[in-house]
Amino acid sequence: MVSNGTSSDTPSNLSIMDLENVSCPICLKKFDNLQALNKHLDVEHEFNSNEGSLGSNESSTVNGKATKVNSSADKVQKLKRSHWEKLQKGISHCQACGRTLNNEIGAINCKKCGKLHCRRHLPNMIKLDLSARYEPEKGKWYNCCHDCFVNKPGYNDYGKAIDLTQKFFKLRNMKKEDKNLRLLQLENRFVRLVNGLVTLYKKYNGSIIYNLKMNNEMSKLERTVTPWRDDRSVLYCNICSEPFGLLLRKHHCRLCGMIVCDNTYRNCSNQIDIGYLVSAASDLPFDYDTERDSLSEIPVSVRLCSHCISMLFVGRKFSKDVEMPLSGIFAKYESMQNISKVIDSLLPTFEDSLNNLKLETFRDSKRVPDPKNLNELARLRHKLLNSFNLYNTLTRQLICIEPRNHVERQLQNSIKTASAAYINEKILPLKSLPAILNPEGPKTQKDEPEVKKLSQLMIENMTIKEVKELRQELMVLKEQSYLIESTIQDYKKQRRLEEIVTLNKNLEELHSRIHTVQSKLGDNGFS
Amino acid sequence: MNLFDVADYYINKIVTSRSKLSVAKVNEHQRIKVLLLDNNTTPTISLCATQSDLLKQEIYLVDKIENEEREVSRHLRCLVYVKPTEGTLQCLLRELRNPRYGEYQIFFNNIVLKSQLERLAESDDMEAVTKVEEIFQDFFILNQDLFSLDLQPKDFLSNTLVWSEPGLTECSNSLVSVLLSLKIKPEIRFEGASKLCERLAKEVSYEIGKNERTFFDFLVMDSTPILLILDRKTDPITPLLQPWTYQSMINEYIGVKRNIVDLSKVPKIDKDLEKVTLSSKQDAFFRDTMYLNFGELGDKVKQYVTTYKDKTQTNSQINTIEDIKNFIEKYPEFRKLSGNVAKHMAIVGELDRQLKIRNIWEVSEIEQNLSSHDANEEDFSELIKLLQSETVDKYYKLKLACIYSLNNHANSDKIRQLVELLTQDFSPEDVNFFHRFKSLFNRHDKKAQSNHDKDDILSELARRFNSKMSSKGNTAENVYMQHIPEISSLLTELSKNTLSRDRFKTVDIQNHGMTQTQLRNDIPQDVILFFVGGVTYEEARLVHEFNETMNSRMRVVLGGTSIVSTNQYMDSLRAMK
Repeated sequence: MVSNGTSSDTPSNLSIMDLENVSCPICLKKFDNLQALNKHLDVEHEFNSNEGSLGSNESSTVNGKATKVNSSADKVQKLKRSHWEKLQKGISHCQACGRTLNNEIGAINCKKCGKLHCRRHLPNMIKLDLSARYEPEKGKWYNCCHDCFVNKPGYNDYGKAIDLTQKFFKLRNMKKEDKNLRLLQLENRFVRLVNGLVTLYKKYNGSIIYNLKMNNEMSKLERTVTPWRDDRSVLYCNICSEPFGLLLRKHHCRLCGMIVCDNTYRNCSNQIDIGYLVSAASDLPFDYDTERDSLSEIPVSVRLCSHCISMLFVGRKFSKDVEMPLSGIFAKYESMQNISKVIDSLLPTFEDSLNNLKLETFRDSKRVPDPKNLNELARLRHKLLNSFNLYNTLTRQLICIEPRNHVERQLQNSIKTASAAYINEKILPLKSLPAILNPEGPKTQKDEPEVKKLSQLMIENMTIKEVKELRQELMVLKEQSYLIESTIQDYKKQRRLEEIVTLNKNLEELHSRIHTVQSKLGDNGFS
Repeated sequence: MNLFDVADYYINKIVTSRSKLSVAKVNEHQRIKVLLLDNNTTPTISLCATQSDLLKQEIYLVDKIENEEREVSRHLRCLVYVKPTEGTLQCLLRELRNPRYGEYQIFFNNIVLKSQLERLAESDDMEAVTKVEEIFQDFFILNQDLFSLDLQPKDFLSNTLVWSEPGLTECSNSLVSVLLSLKIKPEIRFEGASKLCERLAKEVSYEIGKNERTFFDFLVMDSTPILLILDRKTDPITPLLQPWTYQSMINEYIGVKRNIVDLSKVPKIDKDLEKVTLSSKQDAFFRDTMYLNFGELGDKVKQYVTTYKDKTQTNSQINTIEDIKNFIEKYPEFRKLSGNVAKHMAIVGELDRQLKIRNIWEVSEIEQNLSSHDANEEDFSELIKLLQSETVDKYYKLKLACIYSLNNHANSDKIRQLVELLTQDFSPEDVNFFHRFKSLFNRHDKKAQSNHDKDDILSELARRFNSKMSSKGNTAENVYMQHIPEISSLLTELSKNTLSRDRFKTVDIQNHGMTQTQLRNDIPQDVILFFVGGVTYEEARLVHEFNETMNSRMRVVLGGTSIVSTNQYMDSLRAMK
């Protein structure tokens, strides 16, 4: 019975080890001799049950055997057995290898799922409670099949990850409150300062005493906006900590009142025209309007320290940049994405119908496929090929755009590789199309070599090259909008409303772009 | 416990990350992404993801956060994947104060301190950050069951026996991230005789205890996993012997760094092959051959070339349109294959050349005999002959002498003879090194010797186990692979749960809520072995083979502070003071 141990090494293990001091290979309990261990294995780990029923060969059922064992060790509580698969001679197969179970290869129930396995395919150990449920802490060791072992909770778990986003936001909001107050204060002061200065300017502009009065009133106003720090108490620049002296003059920031230097290299403070300042923070509630009051022409400037500048303007610049409409590469890339969306949605339908068709012809080689299906397929294929062409053209256009900086150049290269990979991957099913469906060879877009030769010639005020480019763009745009329109129709049928919203937005942009291109082309447009 | 799965999972998490509250500020459909890495995470990514994987996820730009020259492009989304060190944090703070990109999603590869998070929150004035997440991959995955921390002994030791404080923190943090990534809360055991192991074990245990609630809240498993911390010094022979399997030979003779093999020093090498990538994850041929010895490897390569030739043959007969179609369809695959064939041919050719010019065949045979036989007149005279040979490099001579001294320190006559020989044509430094080497390991060996007698039965078992394994690979006694690293017997002991409690102590754990007796009774099913002082590819091979034979009854992951070749190991010994 010992030969049923966990691994095939066990017997040799035991024979080598001191026979006086054997331990159970499953629970490692120590025993004085082999007989005791054997008994322990039979009773505690129920090694003999099925083997026994096999060995006795006749109708002695598992249950009958179990009661016998029970009586021999009535104190030991038994594991549930009602779910065990019964051994049927010559019929039962090992769950793992499919061999018919017999004496030679053994027949043991997995203690967890109860299915029968041969000796070789019950290699694992698992802790179970008495009703054969997985119980990692208080259970006892039983052998089980590979499936039960692998499927125990937490077995193949990996990849701990902790999302700190909420914690981070909470921290950020806490810090943010103080900062927001401070920002509000600065903004208020800034608005008051600008309003006051513009009023003063309007009042005295053109008057003879302008210079005399203006400076005086200005510094008075500035001091009401924020109290100035006392000059004498400050020896070092508040920002760069350099000592003031003959060469490094003291200046007051007009918003926070701190004393800073005016070193041009370190940029601790700057004198900035108010017109410029107002336009950079146009969302603030000024009394005057930049355009109406032509603030940009007012020759009044204020000194601000770099802290106040960054507080007031860096954030504004950031959100302005982010909200800027996409340009150049990014816009083109977006069109590319739209087309690839179309391709991705068309391709599965195409593949499905292609496979159906193949299946039909495979089943009945003489039968001519339904022309309606064929036409539909050809139409789909045509549409797909067009989209690929369009995608390709867009990629090429994107690459032709002169990059504004290093980042854009890198982006262009990557997009080029990615789009090549995309086309290669997606176009495969189109290539493998049977010849019957091939009304026209796959189109390849050609470059226009004559463009360079003719680029010298002028038509009206546009070169031929420009006209060609515009025409090409128009063509692409129209194709694009056609594709998107048809996809919208499809989606409407499928009630995928959310996607329609984004597509509609794209369509609008496309239409406006088409309009501008058309107006540019004027008479040179397509007839 | 497949580390590649872990890597894939994490990388996928980063590259496909979408913040739920994607700010309306950034255009909804604008998806071009930048991946910002630091010096620590760049190798992690390059080991586990290819350029095309990244491109597929619309990551069109990869840059380093340390690079201050990056241009502003606020239409881009930025994924940041960095290690939470002070240096990177500074870079990140600077970045956030004046964001170059429109949106940031930040991933850390290990535990972030609360204070670090606070500082980050404070500098995010623009609210450009939309996601912060901790994932745990502060280690480098080399094989599916092998990882390295890439720490050299001089970086983490202040002297031979003592950790340097930052080195210890670094090492234990990385180990904690290994545990977290595999979701394991282990029983920690360590080589009791080694102060280094003890210190590290305690540190890791302390870290686990500290973060028990927040991080180590995994499901309780029925068998407690084991983290076994070993000291390289207890088995100094293994890293001194010339290896004979593919992956370890590449590391020994050519050198692999982050999966890139530098063949530029090979004479008459093709331009395209100067730098080749070699990853068991992407290269199926390498996956099949990386653990084979040089002889088997030769056969495999030959086979590979033949199949390649067969394929070209079929491809060369292009008569019908159907053929053309087939060819075009198969062309990319075909080109990939031809590139791969050329790559492996180049590497194997270079290995063969190196073996010849360095006389490795002779050296290795003597090495193996010395390390696996007991003191033996024949071996010694062979050794003396080789030491007097003109053609063999001094480095190998010195190494041979060291190996001899390890196994035969009792035989002072012969050692004296050796020293005499060495003094004749070696510099005083080298002779000095030899003496130091002797004294360094003699102490250890005496202890090991006493243990040895006790473990006789076990080592007998281990031998059986190994012979079983090698017969599986169908290698009859191989002269060049006689030595079996100690790790093999350790694995056998682990699988039988007979690992000596005296030699491998357990860290006292009060908080784990498990009684000592319970721990004793469980056969481990998941084991992480960690070598302080470096691990060899040879041992990785054994672990891999062990995993295969155990067929999920027990899963082992091997790791080390670094991967060592014989050269590196000798150098690290030299550097010890």
